[in-house]
Amino acid sequence: MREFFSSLKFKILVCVAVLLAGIMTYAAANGRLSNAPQELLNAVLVPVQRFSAAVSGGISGFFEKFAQADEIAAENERLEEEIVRLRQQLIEYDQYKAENEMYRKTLQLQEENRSFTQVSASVIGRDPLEKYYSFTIDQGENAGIEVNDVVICPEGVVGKVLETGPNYAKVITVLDPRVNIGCTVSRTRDIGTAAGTAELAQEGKLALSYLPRETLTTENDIVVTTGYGGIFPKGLILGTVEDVRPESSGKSMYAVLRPTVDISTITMVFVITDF
Amino acid sequence: MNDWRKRNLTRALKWACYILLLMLSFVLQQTPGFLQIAPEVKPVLVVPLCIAVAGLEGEFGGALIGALGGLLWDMAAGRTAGFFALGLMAACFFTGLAVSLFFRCSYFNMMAFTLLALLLITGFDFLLGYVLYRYGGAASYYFKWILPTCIWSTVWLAPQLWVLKKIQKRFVLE
Repeated sequence: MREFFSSLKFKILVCVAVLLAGIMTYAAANGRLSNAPQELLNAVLVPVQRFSAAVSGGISGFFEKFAQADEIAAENERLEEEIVRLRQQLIEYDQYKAENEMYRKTLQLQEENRSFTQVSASVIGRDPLEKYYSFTIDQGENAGIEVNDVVICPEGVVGKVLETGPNYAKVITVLDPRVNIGCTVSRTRDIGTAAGTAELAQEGKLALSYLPRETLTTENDIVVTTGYGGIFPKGLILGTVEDVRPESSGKSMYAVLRPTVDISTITMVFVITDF
Repeated sequence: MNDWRKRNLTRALKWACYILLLMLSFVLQQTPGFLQIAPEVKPVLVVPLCIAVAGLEGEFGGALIGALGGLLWDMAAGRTAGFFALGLMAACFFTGLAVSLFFRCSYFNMMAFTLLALLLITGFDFLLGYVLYRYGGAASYYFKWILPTCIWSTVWLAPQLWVLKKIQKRFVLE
């Protein structure tokens, strides 16, 4: 054993350990390592990950039909009740829309035209220890995706792009405390900032902070983005309110939001590359 | 072919198989939904593989493949590059040392080493990335997420060790 510690092999291991420590220090000081090794690795691995994700998704989808039959039936019943409620709202909406059109014509207001340039992408990688459900997608710089591009689903906002490579991108979700979104409660028009917390992220939820103390926000209110800050476009649905609680300071309130998207299980997303 | 060239070629092929298996484990570890038994619980396949290689090949080779596996894991998990690499390298080194001096490379022993390595590495990550920031729900996060992940990952050492033993047997140095 003593001979091993004075051997060339042990010296090599010490050099490797020192090199890793140096890499860690450099990465900690500069935010990350050089792009080159990661891009090279992902250029090789992304096609394999894409195939693996497709196979895994196919097999899971086949067995889910049988394993979750009861849950699917219960969700079906809940959705039918929601459809009835939404139909009632639609009738009111049509009335408001007609009134709005009339007021627009009267005041000669022009309507905003909003269009996004989007790239569709598949989720190909999730780390087991990722507590905010961040993931990797199979599109990157070659598809026009850049850092801070917003990632959405048809149901609502998912997150934003953290880093990119030629054929992949890492996405951090709205549950991550690093993502701060200017939002408004669509019914009460209260404005706040939505961000994740470590505690709420375990339940798949996030917090909408800095609501006024006298806020009228209640359960089931819908929260949408305001567009302030320039990263998240205006009018994207973020989630619904589950609860409203006082902040620890007592000066304002915060709402617990459940995202409209089930972030832990999504497999397809859209990246807004221009708006 | 000369004996030393044949031995070097055999050794190179064996290690190429180990590295391919490491890459495969890494890809499967990242695959959404693969071997996932709960929204929070998916196996970390890289760690048992590296520990198994360390048990079979000794402390030097084990430490090097541990460093490589750890770097891959760092890149995927979004941790500071080198964090998991250093931890896994140390774990593999001590596993290789323990197996060469005191323990047999049995399935039970390797699973024990894997579980210990995972608990130490993820425990350190939990301490630095969660407890130090005083995030709420720390106990819940540890017992509902980290601990089940460690246990579920340890289970998958068995098939990986079986494959590695087959590879080692195939590429025997004469």
